[in-house]
Amino acid sequence: MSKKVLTFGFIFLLILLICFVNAQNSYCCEKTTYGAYCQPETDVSKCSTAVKNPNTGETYQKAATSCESTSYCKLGTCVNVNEGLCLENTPQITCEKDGGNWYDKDSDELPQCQLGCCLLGNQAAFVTQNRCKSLSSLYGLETIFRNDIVNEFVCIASATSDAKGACVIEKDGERTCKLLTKRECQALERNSESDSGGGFINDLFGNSNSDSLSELNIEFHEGYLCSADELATNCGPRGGTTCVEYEDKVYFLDTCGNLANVYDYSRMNEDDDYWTYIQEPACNDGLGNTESRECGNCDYYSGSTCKAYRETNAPAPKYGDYTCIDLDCKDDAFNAKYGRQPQHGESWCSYTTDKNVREELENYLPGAEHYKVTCWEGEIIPEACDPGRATICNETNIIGDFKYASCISNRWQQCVDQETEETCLDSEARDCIWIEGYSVLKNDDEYTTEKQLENNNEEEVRASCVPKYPPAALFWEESGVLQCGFSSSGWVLFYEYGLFQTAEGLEEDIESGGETPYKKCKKADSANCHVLPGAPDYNKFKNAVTNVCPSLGDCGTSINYLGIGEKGTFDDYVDYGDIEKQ
Amino acid sequence: MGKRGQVTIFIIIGIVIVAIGILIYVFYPKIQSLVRSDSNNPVAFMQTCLEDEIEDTVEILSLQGGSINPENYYLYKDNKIEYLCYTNEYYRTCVVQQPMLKSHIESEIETQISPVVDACFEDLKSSFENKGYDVNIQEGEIVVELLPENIVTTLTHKISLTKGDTERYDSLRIILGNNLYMLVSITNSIIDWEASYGDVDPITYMSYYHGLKVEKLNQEEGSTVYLLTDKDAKNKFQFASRSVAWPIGY
Repeated sequence: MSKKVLTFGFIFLLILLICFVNAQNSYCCEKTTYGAYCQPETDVSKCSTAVKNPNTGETYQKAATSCESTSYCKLGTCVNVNEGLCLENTPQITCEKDGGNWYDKDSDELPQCQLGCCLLGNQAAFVTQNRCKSLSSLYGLETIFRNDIVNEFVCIASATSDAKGACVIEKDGERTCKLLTKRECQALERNSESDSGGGFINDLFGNSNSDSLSELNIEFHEGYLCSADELATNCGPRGGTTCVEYEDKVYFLDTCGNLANVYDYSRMNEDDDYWTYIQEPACNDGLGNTESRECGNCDYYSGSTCKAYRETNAPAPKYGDYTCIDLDCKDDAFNAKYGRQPQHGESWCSYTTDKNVREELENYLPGAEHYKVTCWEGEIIPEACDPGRATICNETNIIGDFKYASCISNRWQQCVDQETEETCLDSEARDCIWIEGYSVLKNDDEYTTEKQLENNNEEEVRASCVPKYPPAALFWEESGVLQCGFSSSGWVLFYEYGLFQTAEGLEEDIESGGETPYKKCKKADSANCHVLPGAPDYNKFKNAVTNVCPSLGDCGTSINYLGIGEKGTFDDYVDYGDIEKQ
Repeated sequence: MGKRGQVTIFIIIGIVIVAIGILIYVFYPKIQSLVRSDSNNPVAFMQTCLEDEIEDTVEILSLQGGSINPENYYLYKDNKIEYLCYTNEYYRTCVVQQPMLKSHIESEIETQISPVVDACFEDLKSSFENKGYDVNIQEGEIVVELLPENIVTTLTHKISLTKGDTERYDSLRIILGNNLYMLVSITNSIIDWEASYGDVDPITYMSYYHGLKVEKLNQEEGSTVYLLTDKDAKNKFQFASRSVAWPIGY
């Protein structure tokens, strides 16, 4: 047998062994006993076997491998034909149990999942063709699907509303009017000729006799309002005001209930063209006309929208029942910090830390959690960042002092492993700080002496690379003990040295293993006290230890987020070894 | 009449009011049924009979992530909220658990109201027979559809009511004003994002849909409860997801 064959056989056996070991560790359950589909489980008893799969009539499957490797839990795309929706990352079983069609492909590869622009009246949606058909049908609109538009922004921008105007309907010498698009008005004319619009027309004229539809005369006047004098309809100006769905402004109504222009009190009684032609509003304070009594030109992105004033505390408008309500919020904490109230759309950071706990790391004390808080439509909406400060809140200013917050990853995990200041402070890769004077990394020697790290001056120094944003630690569980283990400075000895004695001499004595004339310190923090294993600069060491240890997480003695407990001192972070340990 | 007499009358009136109140409280469903039986329109009768049941079912489904009996759920404020996307691992994106949410909810409503529909048809039969009608009901299907702003329940039962003339109904439609359709559509989109990227920014949805409130409530162990509220229609829908969960202290 050749050497190559033997090598190949050995590798093959090794792979088999690895697979076997992995298989021993994890099973893929098609369904678990707790009802989840396609989950890995180390405990095979958590795979459901008692219940049968209603689709196949067989028991749910399980295999000692990862779910990606199985046929029954492979992820694909689930297509909902009726709704025209495509969902990726879906296993076959969850798709087919409620009638979906499953494909072992990404949605990009499926023609029925290709997105295009669906034009729905004066709106647009970037959806599949089937979804477009479904939506058009639901809203009673003609299906207009453009697969040449392959970008959502272009799609939304392409939504143009058809020009509106006065659709004047004359019957038996009586003229009434509806504000419609040209297409809608023409459809009304067609329907009236075919009799199907009779009900609508009769509603307009307030009678139930549909036998005289043929006498109807319908004409469209683009850009005109129904209240226009020259159209000589029974619709006049000043029929109240209203809000319109999916729009933010307050609109005038004519006496027939048709929409007119945006509410502008100054033009309400004038016999000018404001009740004749459709036109853009002229009134505008540039701030959304919030709670204006005279102008209904609300602007959602400036913090106002149309609402009945009685449902709010807003002052009554001079005419009608609707006004531009204020969407900004009221928040005492924000006001105390920034001297103003938060605006609609603004977000900022908040912490569970008690307000009375004041110190540098107050937002990273044990138990402290981070929140992103958003002011939206007058409501304060908090959103917790991931528990244990796995993500932390980051607040920035955009457009002046408008606050924007987000929960960002706390990339602390690799900090303590960094052995140079340069890699430690690489903000692209991690969120760490560099503290000189004490090293959490130890040498593998008799005294587990501190490891020397390289600073930016290419000097070997005792230093630690620690998390910039201290994470939480489950210090009462095994994982937390491991994490906090880094913060233990190990055992230390304190020696006093006299006038002609030096720290270096002490170290030489200790390293040679001989007797030492140096005496143990009585007070750990006395000025001439030397710390072993080697840390010649005691004050630097002490300062570093008290900064490094709390940075590693919720370890050691600390005030908690409620201000309960005591701040950790140097003595809390060190174990005083005795001379016998040498 | 002396003062004592007046006091007695007041006491009697008080007792009568309390007794009427107790009677209404105890016999409310029957009184409601009596009111129903006054209706001469079978559609109105069934609407009145089924409306509360559909409303209650929709409310339960809305609080529990679209399932009457959630199997894999997160317990939040005493509600079992179904995970619509779930992974039991850390750092991994979730696996979609309910890709056909709309049809699943429709099917749940159909199953839940089915016994009540039968009971209502029984009530309808006896009610119209009491009014002298000859009633013939041919069993049909229950079809529930979530539509924009409405939940439409179509009963394809064929009814004929004969009292001299015969009135025939090929199907009955019960319409409940509810915008669950929109909330379910948004939920589908959130699930898609959770399964692809593990996270969603609620502001994106609230910017698109004015009047919509999306609350993202991060829980222990990496679960997230989403609470969607249509502020105008006052409808809510909440569901759970577990995707790209971070362990504490790692």
